[in-house]
Amino acid sequence: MAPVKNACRLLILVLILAGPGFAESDHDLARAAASRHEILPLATVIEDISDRYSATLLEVELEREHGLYVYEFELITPEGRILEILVDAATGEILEEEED
Amino acid sequence: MTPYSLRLRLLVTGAISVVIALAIAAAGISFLFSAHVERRALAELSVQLDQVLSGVERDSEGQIYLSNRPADPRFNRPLGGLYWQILVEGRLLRSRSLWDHEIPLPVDDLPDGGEHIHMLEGPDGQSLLTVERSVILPRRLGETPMRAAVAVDRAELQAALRDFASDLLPYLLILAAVLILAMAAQIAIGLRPLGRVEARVGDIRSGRSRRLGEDFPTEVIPLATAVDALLAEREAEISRAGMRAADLAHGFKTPLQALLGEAGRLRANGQESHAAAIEETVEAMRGHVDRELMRARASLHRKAARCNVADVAEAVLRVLRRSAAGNQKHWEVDIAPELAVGAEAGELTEMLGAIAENAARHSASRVAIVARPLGQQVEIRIEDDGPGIPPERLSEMTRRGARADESAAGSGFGLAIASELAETLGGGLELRPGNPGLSVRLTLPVAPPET
Repeated sequence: MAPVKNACRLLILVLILAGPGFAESDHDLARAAASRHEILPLATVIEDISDRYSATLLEVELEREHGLYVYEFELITPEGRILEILVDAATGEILEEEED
Repeated sequence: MTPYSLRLRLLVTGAISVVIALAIAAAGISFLFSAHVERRALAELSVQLDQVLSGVERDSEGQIYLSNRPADPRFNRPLGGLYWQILVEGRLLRSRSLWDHEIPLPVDDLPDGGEHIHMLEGPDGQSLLTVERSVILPRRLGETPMRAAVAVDRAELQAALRDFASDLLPYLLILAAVLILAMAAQIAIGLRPLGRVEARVGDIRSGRSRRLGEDFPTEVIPLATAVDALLAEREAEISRAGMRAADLAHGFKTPLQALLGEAGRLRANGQESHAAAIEETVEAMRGHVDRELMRARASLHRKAARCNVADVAEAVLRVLRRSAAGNQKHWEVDIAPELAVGAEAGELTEMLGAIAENAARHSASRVAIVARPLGQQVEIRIEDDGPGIPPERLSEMTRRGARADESAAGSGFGLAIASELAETLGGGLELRPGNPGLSVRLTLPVAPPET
């Protein structure tokens, strides 16, 4: 069991190091992509999203999945419902919508 | 001229000045609050900037990074409203909240190490209040120059100002209402003495008083004094005019009497027709003179005049009982002792005398004088048992110069003058056929209450 335990520890360590590391750099990623016009400015996308769901922004993350930039929004509606929405950062198209 | 109210004028101008003053106060308070909010925001930014500056370290690869980040969650949420940015060794480090935006720091020509304040454009079109500072890193970090900035979205400050203004507004409205009400009260109290002037003028018109007096506020006294002076002047003028008219009328009496004497002599000399013509003219002139005397007295009549009917009737009868026409007659008098009319004793004597004398002259043996109140009027009825006047001639009897019996003595002006005087006083004179004889009905207003 010891190797498994060690592997787990290593994984946790990697996650701890990588987690914040990735979170820290997603805005730099966003700036780089936006300056290359590969993604829409966040302000534009937020306007669309908050209009459509009449909800307030809690958090945004930018992720790269299979070569596609994806905004991951977390919103809160006036009724207190928290929504998670995936948006194609290049087109502003909603990819996926799920409730927490 | 359109009537306008002094009160309304004062109130409107006062209300406008209150509103203007409060608007200026609101603008001033908002400005102070806005300055205060901005000062607080700058102080806070300065603290944040210090924390950013103190958190700079070099990592294992020799790159500058921010080891100790400011704790405010707004730095971490994209477009969160609070931002930091560092420019060092050609690298740009930004708070996560800036996301895809870079604060466009102007080229700073004066790297004096102090804090500089800028208004700059932020993400999503925000306007940023920015505190920025150029520093030299410590030797441990390579003594390299670094520029760091911390910024806050001014929309937050403006929202605070808006909230403050909307909190302030109801209080200002209440204050305005209270001030305007207080002013209305002040105006009402301040202008109250003017109402007293109006009441006094009313008293003068109704005859209850003759002058405004001087118990007014200092500002009104000049007006009251001027009005009183004017009243005195007018009164003196009217009295002078009345006296002149009376003097003139009196002046005519003796010459007219002399003319009558001349006419008598003419008659004695057998010139009957000339004598009659002169006598007729003299009677006509005497009528005018009596009339003028009556008018002069009426112009001096006071509104508050009053006299006791029984007393006047008593005085009139005392004279008539001694006259040729009256001493043989039986006088029946029925007048309540306290009955009073709104006329001077002289005026009532004139009217009652003319009517009673007329009745005594024509009566066979008896004259009745009855007075009684009739609503707001007093009715005095004088009835004789003489031949009376044909009904078709009754109305012309109160005309000047008319006489029922052309041969009898007297001017024929007596009833006409009495009628005119009664009307001047607000009453009237009416002739009716009696049973038998003539019934004269004199009405006069009831005397005003004694003050």
